[in-house]
Amino acid sequence: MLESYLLSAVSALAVLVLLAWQVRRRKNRTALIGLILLLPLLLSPTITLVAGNGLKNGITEYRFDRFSPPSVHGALGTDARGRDVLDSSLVGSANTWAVTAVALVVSVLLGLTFGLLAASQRHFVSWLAGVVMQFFEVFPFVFFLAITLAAYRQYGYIADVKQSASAAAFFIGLMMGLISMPYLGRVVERLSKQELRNPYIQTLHGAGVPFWRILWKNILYHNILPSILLQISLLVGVIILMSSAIDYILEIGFGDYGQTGILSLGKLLAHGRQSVVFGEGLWAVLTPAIGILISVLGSSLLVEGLTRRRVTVKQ
Amino acid sequence: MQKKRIMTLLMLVGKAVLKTVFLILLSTWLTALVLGVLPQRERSLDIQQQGPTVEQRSHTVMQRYGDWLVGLLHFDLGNSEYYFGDKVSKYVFSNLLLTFSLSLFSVIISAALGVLLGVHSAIRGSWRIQPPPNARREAGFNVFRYALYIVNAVPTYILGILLLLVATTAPMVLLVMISMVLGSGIMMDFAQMSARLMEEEFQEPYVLNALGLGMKAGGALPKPGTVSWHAFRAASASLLPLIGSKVPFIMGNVLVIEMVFELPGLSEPLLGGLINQDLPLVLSVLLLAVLVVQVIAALTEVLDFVVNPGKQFLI
Repeated sequence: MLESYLLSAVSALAVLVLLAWQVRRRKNRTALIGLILLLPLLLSPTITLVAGNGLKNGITEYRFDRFSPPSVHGALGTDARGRDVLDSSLVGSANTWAVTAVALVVSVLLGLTFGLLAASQRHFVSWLAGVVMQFFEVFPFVFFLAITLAAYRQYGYIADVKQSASAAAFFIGLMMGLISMPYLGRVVERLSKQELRNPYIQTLHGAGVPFWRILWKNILYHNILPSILLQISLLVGVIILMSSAIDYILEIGFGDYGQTGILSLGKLLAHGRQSVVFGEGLWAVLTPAIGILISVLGSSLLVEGLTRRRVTVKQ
Repeated sequence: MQKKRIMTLLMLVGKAVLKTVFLILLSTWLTALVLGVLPQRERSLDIQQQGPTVEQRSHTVMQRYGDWLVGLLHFDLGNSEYYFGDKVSKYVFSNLLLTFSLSLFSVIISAALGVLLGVHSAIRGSWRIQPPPNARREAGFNVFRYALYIVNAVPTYILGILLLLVATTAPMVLLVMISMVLGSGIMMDFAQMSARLMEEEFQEPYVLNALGLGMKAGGALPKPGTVSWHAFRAASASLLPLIGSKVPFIMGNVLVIEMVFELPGLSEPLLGGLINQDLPLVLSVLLLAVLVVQVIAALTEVLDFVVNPGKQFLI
C-alpha cells in the first residue's frame, strides 16, 4: 500500500514547491493564506508514507470501539466503524490527493490538446475537438462516473483481478480527468482564439512558421500559460468537490456497486452522514468535512491571490 | 438587415439541434455499450415475472438499443425492462420538471449573484472607473466575498444535509433555498470569470476615450449610459456562453441533491435503472439530461445573440 503513496508524495511536494515559489514571487497575502490551507492536503501523502504501517491499525474497523470521543489514545476519536479519525482522515487525504493528481494530469494533457485543436483554423478539426469536449460536458458527471465505476467494479469481479488502492485511485482519477477536461479545454480555446486575433500571428504565418508551432510555442508557451496555470489551480478545488460528491453518491445510493473506490475524504463523510443528522459523534465527520473545506477554499484563495493585479492609484 | 439576423438565428438553432442529435446518439450508444459489459444480476421473483420476455432477454444489448432508437423515432421511450413493464415515459416525464426547474433556478440565481459580485469587484478595483472606496465599505465587501468563498468550498451534499435540518415546509422557499445551495458551487466561478472579463474590458482604449470625452464612469454597478455599462455589454459577449457551459456541472449537482433530499427528480429513475440494468430507463434518463443541458445552453446562445447584435457568430 505504502509504495503506491511514493509517487503521490513526490507529486504533492513538487506542486507545493511550485506554488510556494509563485506565492513568494507575487507577495500576496491572500495567496499565502490559500497555500497554508492547502498544506494538509499536499503533505498528507508524505505523512502517510513516513508513518508507514502505523496507520494500518488506525484504519482497521473495530465494531466494539464506535464513536469514542477524542482522548489520549486517539487525538480525534473514532468513527461509526471504530476507525481512528485522525489516521483515516490522513489516509483519506492522501488518497484524495492521488485521485486529484491523476485527474489533473489527464485533464491538463487532454484539455490543452483539445482546447488548442478547437482553436485551430481547420474547420473539421476544430468542430471535432469541440464535439469531444461537449460530449464530456453534456454527460452529467454523476451519471458518467457511476456507470463507469460500476463497470470497473464488475470487470474486477469477472476477470477476478484484485483491485488495489492504487489501481482504483488511478481509474477514478482518470474518469475525473475526463469529465473535468472541458473546464480547462474551454479556457484554452477562448484564450487561444483571443490571441489568434493579434497581428503578430499574421506575421508568423507570413514568415512560414507552421500553425501547430504557433499554437504550441507562441500562443500557449509564451502567452497564455500563466492564465492556464491559474485555471489548473482552480481545478484542484473542482476535482476535490466532484470526487467527494461521487464517493458520497456511490455510498448512499448504489448498493454493492457503491463499494467501488478507495478510502477518501468523501467516503469518510458518507460513512459518517448519520452523525450529522442525529448529532451523534460529530467529531467523526468534522475532520473530513474540514479537510475538504480548507482544500477547496485554499485553491480558490490561491487563484484569487495570484490573479489579483496590483493597482496603483494616482490621485 | 432584419432578414439576415433572422437567418442567422435560425441557423444557430439548427446547428444546436444537429449537435444535440449527434451528442444524444453518441452518449446513449456508449452507455449501452458500458451497460452491456455488466453481467446480468439476480432478481427477485416479482420483478422477474413482470420483467422482459424470454425473447427480449435473448437480444443483445445493441439489439435492445436499436429497438429503443426505433421507438424513439416514434416518440416512444419504450417499456421499463425491470420496473413492472410500465412505460418509461410515465417515470421520467413526471420527474423531469423538478430537475429542469432546479437546474434553471440554480443557473439564474448563481449567475445573477456571481456576475453582480464579479462586476462590482472589477469596477471597485479599476482606478479608471472608480476611486478606491472607504475602509468601511471595503471591509464589508471583503467579508461578503470571503463568506461566499467559504460557502463555495462546502460540498453541495453537506449544504443539503444542513438545509434539511433547518428546512421549512413551504415548497417555494425550499426550492429557492435548494437552488441557492446548488448555485453556490458555481457562483464564485461566475464572479471570477466576470471580474476578469470586465478588467480586460477596462483596459481597452475605448474606455479611456469615452472617459476623456466626458462620459460618466458609473457607480458601484453598471448603469445604462455610463462607461461601465458599455464595458459590461462587451464583456457579456464572452460571459453568456461561459455561463451556458457550466450548466452540466449544475445538472450533476442537481442529481446529487435530489438523492440527498430524496426528491422525485431524474435521479430516482437513474438510480433504479442503473442498479437494475434497465436499458430503456437509463437511456431515457440520459436522453432527457442531455436535452436539458443542450436546451439551456442553446437558450444562453440565443440570448447572447439578442443582446449582442454586433457579434460575429460562427455558423
